[in-house]
Amino acid sequence: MLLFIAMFISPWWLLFATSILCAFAFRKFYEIIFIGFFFDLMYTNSSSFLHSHFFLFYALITFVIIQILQKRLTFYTRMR
Amino acid sequence: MNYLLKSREKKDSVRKSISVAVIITVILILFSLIFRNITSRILFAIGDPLWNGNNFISKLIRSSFEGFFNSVELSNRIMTYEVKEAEWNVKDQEISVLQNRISEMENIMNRASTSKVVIAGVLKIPPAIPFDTLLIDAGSKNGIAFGQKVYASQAFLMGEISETFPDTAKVKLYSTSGEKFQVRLGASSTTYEAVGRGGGEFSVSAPRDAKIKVGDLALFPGLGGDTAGVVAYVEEDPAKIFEEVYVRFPIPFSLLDTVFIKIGY
Repeated sequence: MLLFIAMFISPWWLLFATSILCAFAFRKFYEIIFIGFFFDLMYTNSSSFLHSHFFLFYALITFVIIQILQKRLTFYTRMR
Repeated sequence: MNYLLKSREKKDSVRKSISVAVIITVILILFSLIFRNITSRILFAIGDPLWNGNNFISKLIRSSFEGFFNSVELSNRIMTYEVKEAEWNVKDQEISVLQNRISEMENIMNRASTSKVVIAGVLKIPPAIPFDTLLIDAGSKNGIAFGQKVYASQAFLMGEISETFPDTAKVKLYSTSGEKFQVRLGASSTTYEAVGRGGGEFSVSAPRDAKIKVGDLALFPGLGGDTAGVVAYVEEDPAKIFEEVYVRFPIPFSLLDTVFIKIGY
């Protein structure tokens, strides 16, 4: 909820840094994909498919990388 | 000797979560293709009071804490802005003289402009947004429509309305990365293709003998001759036939509080 409100108020770099931190902190943080989706809807102007869904794809790739990293980091394996 | 079997659970769990993420992405893309307008309207309806409130609080905090800043730093900043403002005023005056002459010619040729102007406040602007996009607090209720031209001042044309909502609108700046348009540059007013680079800047490839210098105005083609920007830097390379001219929007985004939208003809 806080991240959703931050989408409107905070600078974009702060929002993305916080989303990435949350994706590391929480397992299966699918909300990052929704944040990318809403961000594209609000701020992109482009008519091309890739540009108009840029942050959605960026969020998906970030999520995948973080999921793989979480599997390999000792911090997470010890917590399980 | 017994060895513990490797657990397959972790690998399967990661694959499962990635598959779910991809499915969610596909569903969201389909959703945006079908319900884009409705979803954007809802988001902008939620965002409008938040952006207005944010701007109000930012101005309040800025005005409250200005007294704590180093007075020397403040006076330096004021001086820099005053110098820049003086430069813009001179450019504005030159452009006004030219535009008056154009208006006289239009009247003679019976083509006088009858457009109306709507003033709108800026809700969000780069660098708060990563793209060259503006959000303004005027929408379809104020007569704003797709494709209308947006000016930063009387002379500087900065973009067009790309999306409208009842109370807000989105402006696409011409300096958006990859955006192509025509400008006139140089003493001979030759038309070149400009390519947006983002951050209020665009570039033009011009022949070396075009004699374009820093401070020249880049104008949009047409009788009105709206100004696109001011040449900030010319990259010359004796080995190349063309030189790269970088044109920048003269007003810093941080100083842009209001914009003017021309509606009608």
